Amino acid sequence: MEELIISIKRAKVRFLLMIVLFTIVFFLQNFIFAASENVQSQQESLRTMYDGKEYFFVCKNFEEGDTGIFYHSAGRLEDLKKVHSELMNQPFFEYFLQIKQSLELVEFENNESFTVNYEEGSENNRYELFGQICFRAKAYYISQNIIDKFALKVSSGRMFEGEDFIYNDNYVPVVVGHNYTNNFSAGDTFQGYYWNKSVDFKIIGFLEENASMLSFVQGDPICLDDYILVPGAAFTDEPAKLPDGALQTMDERLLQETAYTSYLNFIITLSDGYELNDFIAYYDGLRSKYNIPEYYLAQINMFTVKMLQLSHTKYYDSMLFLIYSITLFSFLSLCIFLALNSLRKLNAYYIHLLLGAGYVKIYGMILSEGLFILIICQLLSFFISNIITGGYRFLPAAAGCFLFACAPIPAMVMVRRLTEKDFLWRKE
Amino acid sequence: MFKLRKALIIAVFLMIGFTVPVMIRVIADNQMNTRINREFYSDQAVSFFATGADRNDMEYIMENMKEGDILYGEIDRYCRGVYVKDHKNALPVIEGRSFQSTDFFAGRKLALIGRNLRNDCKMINGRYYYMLQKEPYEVIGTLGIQSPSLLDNYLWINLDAMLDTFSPDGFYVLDGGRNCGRILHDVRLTDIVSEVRPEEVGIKAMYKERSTGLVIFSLLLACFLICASVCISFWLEGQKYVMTVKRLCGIPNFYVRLELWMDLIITCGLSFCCGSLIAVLLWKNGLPG
Repeated sequence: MEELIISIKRAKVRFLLMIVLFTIVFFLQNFIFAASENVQSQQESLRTMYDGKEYFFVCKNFEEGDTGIFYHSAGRLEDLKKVHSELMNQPFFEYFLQIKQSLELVEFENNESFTVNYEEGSENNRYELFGQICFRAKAYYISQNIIDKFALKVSSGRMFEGEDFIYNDNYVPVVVGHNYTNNFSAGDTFQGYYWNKSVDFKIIGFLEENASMLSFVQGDPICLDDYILVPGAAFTDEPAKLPDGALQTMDERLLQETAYTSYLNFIITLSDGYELNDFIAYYDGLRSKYNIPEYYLAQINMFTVKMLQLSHTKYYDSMLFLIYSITLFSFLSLCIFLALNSLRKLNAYYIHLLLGAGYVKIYGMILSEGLFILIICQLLSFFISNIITGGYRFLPAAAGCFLFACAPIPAMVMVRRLTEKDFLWRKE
Repeated sequence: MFKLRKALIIAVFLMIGFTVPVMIRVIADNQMNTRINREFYSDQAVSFFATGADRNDMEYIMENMKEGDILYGEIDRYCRGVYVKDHKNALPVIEGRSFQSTDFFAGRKLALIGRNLRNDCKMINGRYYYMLQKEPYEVIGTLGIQSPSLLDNYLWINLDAMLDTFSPDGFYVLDGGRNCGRILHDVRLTDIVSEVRPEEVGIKAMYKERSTGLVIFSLLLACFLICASVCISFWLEGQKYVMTVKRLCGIPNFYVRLELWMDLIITCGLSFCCGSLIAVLLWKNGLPG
């Protein structure tokens, strides 16, 4: 220890330079690994959004006057339910439901930032509905496979499960974006309208920060931090009969009809071995069987996602290359630093040897200098990284320590090769 | 041993010479990519809605913008009107030219198109035109960078021509220096203009990126310089005896030092130049960055 302190005192400036060098190197290693992990997860996220398949938007297309006939046909609801069930369970394509539609919520006064058009500067989003003051909150109605498709995860609470996509009278479960954590907690409920029926919504989970998914209609990834995810639920029970004088908002038949009609706007991606014509033939057959209105089909523009997939990785590859280079040169610098220090301390080493110390002790002195620098720098970079990036990756740190622990070897070899003659020559 | 010491200096300066151009290019490319992925708006861009505005109000904003600022008026996702204040190369083009000061308020309808729109152009009297709302816009250049990018689908027209055809009310973005949005606080505009924070889409929606390129570059350079100083001191250690012998031979101290400096500068300079040359040659062949 004494020798170490003397050594530091003798080579103050060089020692300081080494500390600065290795603190920067360890910090940069950690920073670039963290950034590179972020980019990789972003690329992974983009890959889940666009896997090279083609997606199509299928949308019902009422002609003038059709709407009334459509809704008031006998057995309409049963037909719609059967269509939905068949669309969900066929081998030709995968059915996705992703409807961007605001959720009408009551008593939502202090949550303006979650309301529609807030970012566009809309100041007053309140309006009256059935005698209550309502707000339009940003929301997406989704099918269960959307969650897997975009690998959406919750930071607290739980994600939707199968039974959440079956309507129950008690409440409608919702998963909300990360920004809702400031004002709400899991289990909180708020009153609102689900397909025109007054219901209670219950928060079952909060999405991870920056959770995003591809908006098929916009063709752009969107951040879900301010959004509510609402299940596009199926209705297993017959709608209860509306008692005399009941409000329209209690009408369960209207709720089910509205929901199932909305489910006729959906996104598909064809299964392997099937072509678009197979879908058209299948859907036309379904439409004529259940008297479903005309529709239009549009290919979803994946241009933005494709372009985003192309960029970004190159930058971090170049950075990684440069970080590896500087790591190598820093290793060489440490080797030189320790070798130079050893050369300057040959006299001291020789005295130790004359007094009966072995080479192991000399090696220990050289090694302690190197390890001291490494430990100080790792600690410094640990604190700096925690302040700047909010975390520390131990794998690059451990790899760095392992590599730099080898740096005293050249100095040790050099000392071992020197004979008494060299020592004495130096002494002269 | 002497050769090893010099080889280390050469290696470090080769690496510094290699790093400087590679980093400059990587940072520039990354900044351009990030900007393109963010709809070509910078971090300083200010978004606003114009409601109840007329052409004079928009022209007032254009007149009072600072040099180099750009005003975009969005027509739709990929189509926008653009006004560039006294800046020739503000927009990246791969063919033709960008907008110039003389293009605005000259009664001309001009367009910059992405390369994906090239096939939709019509040739009239030897010039290419793009039809927008049945009006022909003369194509002056192709937007984009060498690799495919989001710019490839854009159609940008001169903003004064946009105001001739479309309503001045709508969504605008004022981009430029840090205080580019100051003009929007002008009393004349308070009733017309409201600043907004557009919803985050695209890369912005997925990833909160910080532009750290310059900081990393500076830190890397500092590291290389420290390495260089260590290698130089190692080399000087080896030169001590040679210098002593020269002094003993009667060579003045000044010349001994001068010779040493010249040796060092030539070695470092040549190594640096060689490193840079390797970087340039490699990226011309498409390897680094």
